[in-house]
Amino acid sequence: MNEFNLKEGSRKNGIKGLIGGIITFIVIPLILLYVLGYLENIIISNASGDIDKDDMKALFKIADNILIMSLIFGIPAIALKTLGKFYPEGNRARLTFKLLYGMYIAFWLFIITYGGIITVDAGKIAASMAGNSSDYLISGLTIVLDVSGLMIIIILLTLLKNIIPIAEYKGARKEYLERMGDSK
Amino acid sequence: MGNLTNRPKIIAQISIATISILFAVFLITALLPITDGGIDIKNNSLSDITWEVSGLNLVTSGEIGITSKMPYDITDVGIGISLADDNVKTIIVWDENNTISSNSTKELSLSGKTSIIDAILMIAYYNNDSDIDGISMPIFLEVQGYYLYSMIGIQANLNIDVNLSENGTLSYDSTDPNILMIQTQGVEDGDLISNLNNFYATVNNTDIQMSLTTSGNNISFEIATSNSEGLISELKESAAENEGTITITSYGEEYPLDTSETTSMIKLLDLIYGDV
Repeated sequence: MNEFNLKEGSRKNGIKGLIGGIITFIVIPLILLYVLGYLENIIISNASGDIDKDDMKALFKIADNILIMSLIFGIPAIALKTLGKFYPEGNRARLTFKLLYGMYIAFWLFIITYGGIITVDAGKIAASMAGNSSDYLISGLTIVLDVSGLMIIIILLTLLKNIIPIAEYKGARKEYLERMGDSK
Repeated sequence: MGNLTNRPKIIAQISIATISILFAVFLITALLPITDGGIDIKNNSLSDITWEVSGLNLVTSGEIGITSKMPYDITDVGIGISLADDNVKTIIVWDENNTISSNSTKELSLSGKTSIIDAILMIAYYNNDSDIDGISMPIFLEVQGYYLYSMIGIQANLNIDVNLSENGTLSYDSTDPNILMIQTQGVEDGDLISNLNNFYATVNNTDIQMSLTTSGNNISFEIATSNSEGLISELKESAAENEGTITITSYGEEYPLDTSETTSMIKLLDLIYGDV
C-alpha cells in the first residue's frame, strides 16, 4: 500500500488546506501590506517639514520587506499545508507533510524576521528630532533590535507543535489501517 | 474518524495551546509596563557630560541614571563614548555588564579619559578634507541592554558631530614621514580649543617629540622624529617593546597610554599618512 498515492487523499480536504494556506500566507500579508501603505501615506503626508521623509519610508520598507518575504517564502508552506490536509488522519503521507510543514514554518519564521536581528538606520529622523542645535549635529543613528533569543523560543514552540501530527497519527493509525483493510 | 475521538491528538493540542498561552501571558506581563513609563532615563542629554582637558588627557565626567519599573532585570547594560569615524575608534568610556534590577535605579558612570594626542589626531583626520567651515569632533555613543533573560535586546549607536568651532579650518601636512604638522586657521571661538595650553612632550624610549602652540583660538601641533625610519615605524616599534602601550612624558609628568589609546594613535597616523 503506497500511502503517498494521490488516490489516498481527499480533494475536498486538500482544497480546504489550500484555502487556509492562501489566507494565511497570501491574503493576510497582502492586507497588511495594503494597511502599511495606507498608514505610510497618512504619516508621511502629515509629517512635519523637519522629519526626513526618506528615513520614514526606510522604516516602512523594513516592515514591507518582512511581509514580502513572508509572501515569497510562504508559497512552499501553502503546498505543504495543502498536502498535509489532503491525506486522511493516520496516513503516513499526512504525517510526513505535516511534520515538514511544521519544520518549514520554523524556518519561515527565522527568515522573515532576519533571525530576530533587525537593524534600523534612523539617523535623519534622530537629527530632525534633535532640532537645530549649534553645539552638535546628529549624523547617524543605528538601532539594532535583537529578539533572536525570543525567536529561538518561538521557533522551539513551533517545532514542539509537531507533537500534534505525531499524536494524531498515533491516535488514528489503527482505525486508518482497518479502514484500508476493509476497502480492499 | 472525527477529531473528537482522537484522544492523543486532543491531548497534544490542549498541551501545546496551554504552553503557548502561558508563554504569551508571560511575554505580555513582562513587556506591558514599558507602555506605562517602565524605563526612565535621567541626565540623558549631551550637555550633562562634562568635557575637560587635564594635562595631556581629554577627560569626561558625568553619570546617567536609569530607573526600571519593569518586572524583570535589565542585563548586560552598557554605555560607551568614543571618538570615532568609520575607520577608527578611540574609546573614552565603556561601562558594560551592568544589571538594572527590577524596580530599581542604577547610575552608570560616564567618566573616562583618552589621550589629547589621540583627540587632536582624530579631529585633524576628521576635519582635514571637510568642505564645511568650522571644526567638529566626531563622537560615537553606544547604548545597549537586554531584557527578559536576554530574549530581547536593543543596541543604539549614535554618531554626533560636536561643534568645536563654527568657523576656521584645519589642515595638516604629512608629506614628510618624520614630521606631521597640524594647524588651525581662522578659529574665533570654541571652548575646547581655547582650553588647550601650550605643551612639549616626548614619547618614552623614542626620538619622538611633540609640541602644541596656541595663538588666540588657533593651534599648531607638531609631532616629529629624527629617526630615519619615520614616525609610524618608531611608534610601532616602541609599542611592540611595551606590550602594545607607550608612555608620553611632558614636563616630568608621565601619561601612560593603554593599548586601545596606543592602537588608535598608530591607526590615526596610518590613516593620515594614507598607509591604510
